[in-house]
Amino acid sequence: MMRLASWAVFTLVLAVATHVIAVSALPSVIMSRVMAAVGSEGTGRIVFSDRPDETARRVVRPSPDLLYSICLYDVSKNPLRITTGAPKDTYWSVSFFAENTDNFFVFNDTQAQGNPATILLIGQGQQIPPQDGSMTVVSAPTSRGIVLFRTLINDDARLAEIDQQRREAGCTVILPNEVK
Amino acid sequence: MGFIFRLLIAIVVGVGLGLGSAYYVLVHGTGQQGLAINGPWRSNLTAGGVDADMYTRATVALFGLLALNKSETVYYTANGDSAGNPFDASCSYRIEGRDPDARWWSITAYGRDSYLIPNPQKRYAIGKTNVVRATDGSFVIRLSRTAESGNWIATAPDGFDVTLRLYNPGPSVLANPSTVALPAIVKETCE
Repeated sequence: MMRLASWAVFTLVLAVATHVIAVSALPSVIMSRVMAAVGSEGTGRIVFSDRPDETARRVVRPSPDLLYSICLYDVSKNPLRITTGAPKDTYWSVSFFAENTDNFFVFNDTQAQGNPATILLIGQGQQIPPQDGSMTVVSAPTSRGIVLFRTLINDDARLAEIDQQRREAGCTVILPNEVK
Repeated sequence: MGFIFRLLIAIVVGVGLGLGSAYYVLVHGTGQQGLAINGPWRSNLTAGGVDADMYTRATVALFGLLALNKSETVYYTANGDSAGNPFDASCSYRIEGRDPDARWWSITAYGRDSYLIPNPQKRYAIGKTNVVRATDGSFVIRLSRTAESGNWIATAPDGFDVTLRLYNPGPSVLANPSTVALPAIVKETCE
């Protein structure tokens, strides 16, 4: 009887451990798969996706009213400079996601007040490159992650115009010789 | 031999229970903290935020990866109608109400794979700027497999759900996500 109880406790502890590990690890596993799907073309440079339709697979549950632009970051060695562009008379935002899916920073058109903005994304304990004070400096909680731009198509007739304006955004790796 | 056999059985059962319970909890949405239920709509205001618990993080990763935090967007999802019945893919529904408290909103239907539903008209969503309203400001949006005139979103023959996005939600949404006025979902006819 005692031996049966020991086996039951062992099985239960294993079940709880498996449950916690599976649930905790899932976001990072899925995030890694998405980053792999974007591929090396998206690391340190921006990829502009077409308006989502039934073939869109880059973002889960995409909104067909948004134009998505994405870049992967890896700030383990060098910071990343993000420029937003400033699409007119519509909602837009740029959001930063850590490797565990946390949305740790977001910046939108209301905050930008109609002007393009520059955001400097740095790694933990990283030296901040010289700047003129107009940049917003954001520290990434994980060295790798995703920067996602959303631009609202608030009028189908403006699609071409909004698409052109959102392409003024960019992601650029800041090389070591740019750091004092 | 007996010990090895018992050990293998215990490992298989333990891992199976762990994975099975994880799947159940994530698919059925139990275990999440901060879950708001408003009629047929469910939302988790910690989604995307750094204060999300492990269940919310995992659920968002599965069904809404790269979701924004609540100050930027609140996401409500409905898997059934206002009477409490799950969506029947052979039935049509109407979503009726007034503009939710947000700078901009949209309602989008998704297939069981969480992607947009193929349809020749490419009618995946209706939003604040293209919804057709009555003179009193109210609107009716129809959800059905066959095309309809006016406000219509295509559904899928093998099942669907709908997401209501509130971009830059008003303070009433953030303060009272379970009671703020949201559109009702009413079943109409079935094939």
